[in-house]
Amino acid sequence: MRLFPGLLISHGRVARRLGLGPRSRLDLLRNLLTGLTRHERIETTWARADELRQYAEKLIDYGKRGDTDERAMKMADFWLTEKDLIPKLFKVLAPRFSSHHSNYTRMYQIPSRDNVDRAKMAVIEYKGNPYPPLITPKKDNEKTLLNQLLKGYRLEKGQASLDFPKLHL
Amino acid sequence: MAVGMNWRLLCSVRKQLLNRVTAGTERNISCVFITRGIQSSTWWDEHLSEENKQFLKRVTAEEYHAQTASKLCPLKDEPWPTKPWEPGSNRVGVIAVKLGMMPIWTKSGDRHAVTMLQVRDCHVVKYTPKEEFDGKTASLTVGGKNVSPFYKPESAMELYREAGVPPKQKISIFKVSDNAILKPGTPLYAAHFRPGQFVDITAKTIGKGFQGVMKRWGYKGQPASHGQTKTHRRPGAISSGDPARVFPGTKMPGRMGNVYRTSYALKVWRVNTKHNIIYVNGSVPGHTNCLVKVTDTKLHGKKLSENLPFPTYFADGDEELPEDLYDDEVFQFSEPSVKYV
Amino acid sequence: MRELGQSAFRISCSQCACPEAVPHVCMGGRDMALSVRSLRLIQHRFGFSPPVRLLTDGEPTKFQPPPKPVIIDKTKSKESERRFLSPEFIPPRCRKDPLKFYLERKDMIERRKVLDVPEFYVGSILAVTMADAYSSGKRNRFVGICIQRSGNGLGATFVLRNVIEGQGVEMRYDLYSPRIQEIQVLKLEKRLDGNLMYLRDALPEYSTFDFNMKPALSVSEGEVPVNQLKVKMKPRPWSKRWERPKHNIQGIRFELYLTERHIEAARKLARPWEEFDMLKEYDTTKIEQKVWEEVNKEINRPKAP
Repeated sequence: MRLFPGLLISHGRVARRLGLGPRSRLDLLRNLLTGLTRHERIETTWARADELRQYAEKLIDYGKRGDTDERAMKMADFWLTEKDLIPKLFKVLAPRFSSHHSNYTRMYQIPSRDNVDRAKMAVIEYKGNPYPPLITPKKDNEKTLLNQLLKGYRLEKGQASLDFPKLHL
Repeated sequence: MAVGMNWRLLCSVRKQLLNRVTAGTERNISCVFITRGIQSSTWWDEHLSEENKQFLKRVTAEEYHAQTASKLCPLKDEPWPTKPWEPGSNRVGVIAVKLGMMPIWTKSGDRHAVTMLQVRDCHVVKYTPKEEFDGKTASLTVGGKNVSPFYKPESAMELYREAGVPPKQKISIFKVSDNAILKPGTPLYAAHFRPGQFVDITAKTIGKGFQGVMKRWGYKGQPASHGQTKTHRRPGAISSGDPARVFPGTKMPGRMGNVYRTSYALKVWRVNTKHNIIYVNGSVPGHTNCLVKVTDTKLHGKKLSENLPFPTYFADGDEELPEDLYDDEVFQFSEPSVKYV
Repeated sequence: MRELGQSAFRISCSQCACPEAVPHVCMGGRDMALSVRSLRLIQHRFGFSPPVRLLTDGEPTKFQPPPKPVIIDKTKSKESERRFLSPEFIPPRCRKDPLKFYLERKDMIERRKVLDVPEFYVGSILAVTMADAYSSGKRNRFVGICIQRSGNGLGATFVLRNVIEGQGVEMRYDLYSPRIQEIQVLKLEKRLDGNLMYLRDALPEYSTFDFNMKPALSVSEGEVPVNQLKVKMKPRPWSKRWERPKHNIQGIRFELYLTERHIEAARKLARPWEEFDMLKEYDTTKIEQKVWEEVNKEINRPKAP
């Protein structure tokens, strides 16, 4: 079970326990994060991907600080076990997300793996990667009756609110 | 992990799916590719375009804000006639959010712990007359804390639509006397309670999971040494040879917490009328941010009903309240420091 | 003897910026003592008290009254230039409603308008006067070193420690208790650690302070000085194993008490990877900035009539 990071501090046992202990947990996530940075889309168990996701986003935040920042460099050095990826973080990923504020990753559940342990699996990826999208974009349903009716109501309402601009908020 | 290969797999699956959509014949691969995100098929906005979705969200929020604000004046909206207080009357209670605890000092310099309870969007939702409820008392259903309507079933929404209030996270029933009934849609405020009175607070306690008898029932356990073998936190005997059975209700290990509990007769030290905060003496069942049920106490020695607003406090009534109401004993922080003479 | 007198004389004159090298009264304890002493020395050596003109160019000059002593009350602190937010204003990292912290802050500010809570740190020496129904005079003044600050919001506390007649005494005060009459900072400084609970296991001279201590010169600008003192401890065992990395103590001279084996055992408990766990970080700079502005605005606002 993972709750939001605030509880990671205030009560002890909130993050998922992965690996063989706290050290091993970070090592495991570190390897996954290195893989994610290299390939930009990886497949792993759902729990690991979910845990990895927060670290992946925080690493981008550090990347945005720039490679002159000492703390950011230390973080990149720890989390990226393959050192040729450090320039990629600062030169490729950080500029890519410079206009974004958060939500740099995307995560999908995929069918459970059927050979070993039926584990719930997931795909995690950095947004803006060169691969084709995993999910087809939503069909344009603008022309359905429901949407057309709503649109009519919206326009009418917009007209009304222009006439009476005083609105409750 | 062979990511490239995985990608190829996914890609091929997608192609197959697309083919299936176009051909519409192959049914054998239907369970291969399940992806569920925010935009997947079970959500309320599944068939809506992006603009319509945003529009609906905005309109609903506006409407609910208006509803919460306009109901500030239930008296203008043809209220039910208010009746005076009589001995033995029961007022309605409120539903409040537990914010947390803080210290408070009295004028004699003593420190007490208080719990802050916020009355957030609390409305009377439904009135059930005596005949329909249990034949003895009438009841009022009260709801607290607005929530999104998009995830409520239609059957639940009916209740709120009738009262003309936004849907609530929690509703609960209060038994009231006949002279204390309120029209559905009436908002309730923290000023319903006044400093100096005593309240009962009901909430679900924090779940502790499966616990042994020492934690669950406060048993003493057995000594750590002196020849004990594997018996340190165990209950000991649970019955004797004569009944030759275990009586129902014997205290044993089991699930602890996550049940409704009531703390009785907690003193109200202070009430903030602007933010609708009740400062209640001591601790209160439940975790932070849980919704608790607050009523006038039912303990006989502690009842103080005469001077309380009856049947409730109306925001647009004649009564002008300052921002903070204090009990007489409470030290207010703008006063000079306490000195003993 | 002569050298000493002259040097003392020189010191006394070089310290105060007077136009002439005349022995004069100068405020500040040390200066005055030195100049009087040097005068006496000169008297002793030459057998007469030197007239003023002897010390000038040898020419007789007009009588000049000694310059008026400029009285600077150094105990009174100037308006602090430092930007200091008391640590209890920063809400902890938790899932409570921010409104709760806002309401508490409002009460804290109200209290701070009545009672002047000065800036102080762990390691500063404070004198706290508290209303006490059971002491003579109904007041109780305690002097000690602040060894811990804890709690947040209205429940913030600090602990003062002193050794009185050979007995260690610790007093825990609620910072916002209405019984507190005055908090006076006798010496404003920091120590190497944020928590000095290890003074319980240190030699008593490190936590012995005179009750009649005079307030030292306050540092109103720049950084608060950090006292680099490293303490000597009583023999082990201590109340806690301070050498363990979770305490992260800098202010103990461990090398006097621990063998290589102890240090090695403590080092095994270190968790160097924790600083890289990004979810355990709690960056308070933005919150601090916001709260500081809010608090400052409220405290400087004039009271409503």
